Amino acid sequence: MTKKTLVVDASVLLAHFVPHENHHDLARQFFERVKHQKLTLILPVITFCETLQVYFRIFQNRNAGDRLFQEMIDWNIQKNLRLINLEAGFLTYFAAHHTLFALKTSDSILAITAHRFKCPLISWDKQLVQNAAKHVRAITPEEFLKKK
Amino acid sequence: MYTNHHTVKVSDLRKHTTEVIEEVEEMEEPVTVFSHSKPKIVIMSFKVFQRMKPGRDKEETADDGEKHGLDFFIDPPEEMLVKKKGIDIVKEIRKLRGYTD
Repeated sequence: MTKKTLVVDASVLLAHFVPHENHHDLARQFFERVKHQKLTLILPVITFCETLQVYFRIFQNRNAGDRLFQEMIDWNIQKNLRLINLEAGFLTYFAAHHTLFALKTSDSILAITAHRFKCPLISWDKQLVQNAAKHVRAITPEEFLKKK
Repeated sequence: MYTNHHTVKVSDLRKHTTEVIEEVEEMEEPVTVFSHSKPKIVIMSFKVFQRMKPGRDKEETADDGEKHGLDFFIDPPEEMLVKKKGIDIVKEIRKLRGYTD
């Protein structure tokens, strides 16, 4: 049976690490749902890099950054976090579809990944969700949690 | 080079066992052994086998007593939390992506 998949933005991965963040509690519930429903998250490599960069920018702790990297790799080894390389196959798909989205490159890569894998894009960034929703199913984790 | 696109011929495996084992050991995926153009068996490195063992996608509490992978994200340890006030993750990411809003 094919596993259900979701493309996730860096905001989804990081919200739970900031207790004062508005989305902190819902972020935990989102991960619990991912585990309960045995969902596989899809993450373009550039989003992986952004996650590490933003975490370091807000925390300035190299050891914590290294640990975050290691845990994401471990999650990948568990086969529940799939990393998408930006290789020739992706580039071909990107070239054919990037005009669908009026987004910055990183956001386009996320939207096009969701388009390519025909799965929802999950982000806390409401502007990204709104712009991507014209051509892919894009929702916030909060909206995702409302669905059974 | 006897393996090609994660496949190897049984004749190559028979004649060049050592070399094929070395190649498979270096690969991150299982390799299918073909005989008379039909897939017969799958071989993989011990490292890949360990990753694929049942139980790897269950809760990961390692020997160090800490949670890893998805469980780490559900319940991150205290020392990984950013306790500064006023951080808006979406704004930080949008700033990194070059948005000026």
